[in-house]
Amino acid sequence: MSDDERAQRLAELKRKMQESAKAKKAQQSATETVSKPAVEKVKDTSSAEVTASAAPATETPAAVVVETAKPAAASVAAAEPSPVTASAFKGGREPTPDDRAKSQMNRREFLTYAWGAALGLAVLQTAAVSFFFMYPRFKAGEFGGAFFMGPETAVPPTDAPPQNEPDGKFWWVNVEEEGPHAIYVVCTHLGCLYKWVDENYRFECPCHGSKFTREGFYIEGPAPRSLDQFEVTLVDGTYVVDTGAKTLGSPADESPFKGTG
Amino acid sequence: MRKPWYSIFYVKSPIAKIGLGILAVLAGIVLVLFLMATENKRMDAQTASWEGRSIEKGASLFIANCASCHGLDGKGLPVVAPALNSRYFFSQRIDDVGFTGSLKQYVKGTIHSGRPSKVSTQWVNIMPTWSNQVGGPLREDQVDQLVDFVLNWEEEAMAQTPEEDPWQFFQDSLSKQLPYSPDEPGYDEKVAEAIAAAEAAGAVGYEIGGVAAEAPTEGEGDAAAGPRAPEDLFASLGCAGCHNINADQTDESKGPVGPNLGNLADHAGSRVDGEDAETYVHQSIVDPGAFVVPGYMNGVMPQNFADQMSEDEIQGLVEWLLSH
Amino acid sequence: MAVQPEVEKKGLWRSFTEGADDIFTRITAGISAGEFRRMLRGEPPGRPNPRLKPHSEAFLLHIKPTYYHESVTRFTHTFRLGILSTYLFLFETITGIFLMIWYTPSPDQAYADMIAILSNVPYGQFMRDLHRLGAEMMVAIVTLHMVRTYLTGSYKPPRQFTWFTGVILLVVTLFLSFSGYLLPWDQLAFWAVTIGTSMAEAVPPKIVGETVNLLARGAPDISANGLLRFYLLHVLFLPLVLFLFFFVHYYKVVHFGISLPASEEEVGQDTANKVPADKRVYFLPDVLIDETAVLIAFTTLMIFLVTFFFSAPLESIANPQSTPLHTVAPWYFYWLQGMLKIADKTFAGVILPGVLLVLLMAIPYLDPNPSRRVRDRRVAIISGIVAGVVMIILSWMGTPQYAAQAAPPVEVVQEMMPEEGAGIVREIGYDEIPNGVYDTRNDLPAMYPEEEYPGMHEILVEFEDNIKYWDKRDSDFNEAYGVLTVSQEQPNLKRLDWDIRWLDAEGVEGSFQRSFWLHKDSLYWEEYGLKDFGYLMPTEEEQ
Repeated sequence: MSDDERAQRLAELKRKMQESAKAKKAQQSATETVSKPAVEKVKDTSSAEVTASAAPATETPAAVVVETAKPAAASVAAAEPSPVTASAFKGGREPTPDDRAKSQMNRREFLTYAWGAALGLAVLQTAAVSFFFMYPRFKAGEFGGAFFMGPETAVPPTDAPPQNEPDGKFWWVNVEEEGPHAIYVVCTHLGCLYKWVDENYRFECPCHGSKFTREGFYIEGPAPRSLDQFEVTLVDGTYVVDTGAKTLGSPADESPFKGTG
Repeated sequence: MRKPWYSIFYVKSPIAKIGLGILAVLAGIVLVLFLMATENKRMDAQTASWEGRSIEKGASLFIANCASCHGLDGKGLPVVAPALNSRYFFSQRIDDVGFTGSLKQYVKGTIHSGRPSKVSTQWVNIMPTWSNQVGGPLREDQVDQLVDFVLNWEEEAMAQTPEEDPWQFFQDSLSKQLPYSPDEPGYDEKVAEAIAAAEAAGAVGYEIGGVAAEAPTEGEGDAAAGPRAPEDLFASLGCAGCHNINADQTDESKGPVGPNLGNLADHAGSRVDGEDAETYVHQSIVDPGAFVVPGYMNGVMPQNFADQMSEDEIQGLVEWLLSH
Repeated sequence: MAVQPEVEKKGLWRSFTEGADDIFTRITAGISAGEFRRMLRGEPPGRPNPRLKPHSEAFLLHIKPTYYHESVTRFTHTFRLGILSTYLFLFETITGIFLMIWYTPSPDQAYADMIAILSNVPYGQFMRDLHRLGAEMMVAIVTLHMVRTYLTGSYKPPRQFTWFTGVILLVVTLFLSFSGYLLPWDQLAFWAVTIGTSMAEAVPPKIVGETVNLLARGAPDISANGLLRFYLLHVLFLPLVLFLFFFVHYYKVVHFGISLPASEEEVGQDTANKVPADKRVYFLPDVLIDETAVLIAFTTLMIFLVTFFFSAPLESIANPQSTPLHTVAPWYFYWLQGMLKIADKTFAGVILPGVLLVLLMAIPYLDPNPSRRVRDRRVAIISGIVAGVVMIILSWMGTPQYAAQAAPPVEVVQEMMPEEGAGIVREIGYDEIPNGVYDTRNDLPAMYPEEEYPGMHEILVEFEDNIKYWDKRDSDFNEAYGVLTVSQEQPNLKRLDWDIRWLDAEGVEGSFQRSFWLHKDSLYWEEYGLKDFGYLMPTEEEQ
């Protein structure tokens, strides 16, 4: 920036300052909220700040002079609440076109918002990272993961008693025409572990006496629904039980074996 | 006042700082996105890596502790210990013994607790317990490393044809129960060899192919039978597991584990200054660490041959090796 | 209700905006939305300055000064080392809590947990690397912070006590970093901490040393008890101590202000409360923007380093039966290890560090020089530089380079394939090492040209060079040659037999053998250096 330009700019700033000082005076008499001495003080210091904030310019190149001069100009504007906020929050007079120009977002404000938005994104991303970090992953063979139950040809007979699979927490039951089921070991009533009672050929819960058929259907007792089951799929000829995918049993009323005990 | 050179760091402009802040946030987001995209592959690579490291450690444990009986290549030594690098072992063994768990659990159980019984076995040595939880020398993680190493033979073993399968037949390998006498149909020479070798080593009370070997009567031990034949010793003590007696040791063809012994007589006298061929071979059997042929590892060859053979037998073996 | 007439009087929109502004002002403890926008636009505050209110009314800002002297806001005056130290403490706390989610302080579980964090937790390695890098950075930055304070003489009155608490913070930082070292329960951790606690055993008289050691380890040697104690020190006790002294330190910094450049401030002068109006840089918004930008840029730098250049090491599981060759303390204790090599354990491990620590704390009370100007402090600055150089030399002596050399053949193999850690052969990896017998008496580099065997060529050159280096250096290691035999042990597993032979000074032949195995899938890495992203390449089947 040439010296001429700078002089011109400074003159312009000075003119603006005087104008806004006048406007401020007018506003001050109009509004009672602003105390008189405070505004007086601002008027006194505003010119002082021009020199004050320009002082570091001795160390920094010309660009800084402008940089520091800007806030000086703005300082005057600041003394007068800017129209957006003034009209929005404080009410009062209609904003003049001049006020509007001053209230427009400048580069720095815009960049700060952009920064805030980017930080918001980063926070979202951190939340996603934390979620993935904490969310447990199950290997095959631990409860919550997959269980390989052997080849299609090696399922137990359809009339065999249920086979307990303690690690996977399910009973392995082969049902005619349907294939094997993996029935979750926990009673649908209040979380007790029911047992297979071979004499009665059914599951019986020791806590409150709910009874279920070999296939998991509700027979009697306080349980609200048939037994829950895990998803069984056939992958490359091998049965895989996904202990992470549980299907809730159908309601007790819908059980075809209700009351048959 | 002249500005110091480092005044370029006196950034005062808030715009510059905000700009730096925005760029840094965006760069950070991009970096974490990059990680997000590669994370699954990284975890897979890490999983494979730790398995690989476990196998590496298992290998050194195997060489130090197991190879003297199971062979450096895991193919077992006749009469000493069964093969592990075997198709039968990987495909049928656990079914035959009626083990309900996985092969991995079977191997782990065997290494962990051993087979500490001397009854009804045709093997010269017993499988000791290895885990320090049951009085063995290895930590539990070392047992796991050994298991990983043994199971890593699967690919090689499953590629074997039945003829290549080094599995030896013994009492409970039900699927391979084969006729015992040459008159019976389906007689297998391999079985007969295995039985002969087992008997030569003094194994008692075992059963091969359903035929029980009779326990030798009192006084029928080594002393009564006189010195054992060198060729039997060579087989039963497992020398053949590492040394090839039918191949020459040359620069082009070296034994992978121990030197070939086909041309032993040619260079036995020149290996160590001041030792003739007999002294050298004798010393190599009794004290294998005294001289190690370049390119081979010390400590692989068992140190206890002097305890397993009488002096006469060692002399006989030396002679036989040099004249072979 | 009373609200209704208000709304009727003002209109719906105005009531709403006024209410919103009120809430905004409460959250910011005194800054209205309009003032906030003016702040963002870079306009100066109104009078009285509403931007001072959060400093007096809000908790988070009450520990920050309302304004700084312009001279101390220059980057090269503080390098922002103080706030970075504070930030790193916070950073370590957060990443540490993440790691604690998957960690159990028990010898049976700890190492398996580390492997699980690396291989079965998304961002597990990322988090662990960040935590480890943060810890090392924290030691470095706290130390540099102290060096800066020393060189500018900022410890002089009225800030003596600030320095004193700073030294305590440095010591706590070192202990924090060191106590965390044991937690992975690998060989590196186990043996470095064994060495560290053995120094405590040297405290005279004997009974005190033994007691201190028993208290620290919870047993005669490091075991489950020791791991639990170190864990508790690391996650609870030491952070609490650091937290406490941090606030004392920080209060003193705010109370006396950051020292101005020596030319602008006399010793003993209280400049913090007498900043001329034209020299004030207000915290809101100028310093806040500066600090936020610095911290964010620093965080991104850490993420960048961790993504490409830094991986926390993890060696084999701790084995109390076997000490790996070249066991070292972490780099910030190299100087101590160096001293231990040349002097008695009690003297170099306990008495000297203790005396040094007391001296360091007492510097502000001992230094009689009333000036902070460099030209008046020649003795202090030169002795500071000399102390720094001595530390660097001692640190070098702490590395295995100095006086911890094993026999030449052991060193050669260690260089190629160390017992623990990576080494050149493992870094080049399985795929580039063909089976065969490599005898250095042949011209191997020519037999395996770089174009055809890029990895193997490098290994063989290094092998030859290492043998030649020791041949020249050691009179008991002459006419040496090495044979490397690579054979296939199993599918995907190669066996490498190193065999080194030489003649000693009397012409007697010696030999050394060592075998290692290398699996196709195993990855090895160095702590510092470009990471291997080979796993991102499509595998052969995919191609």
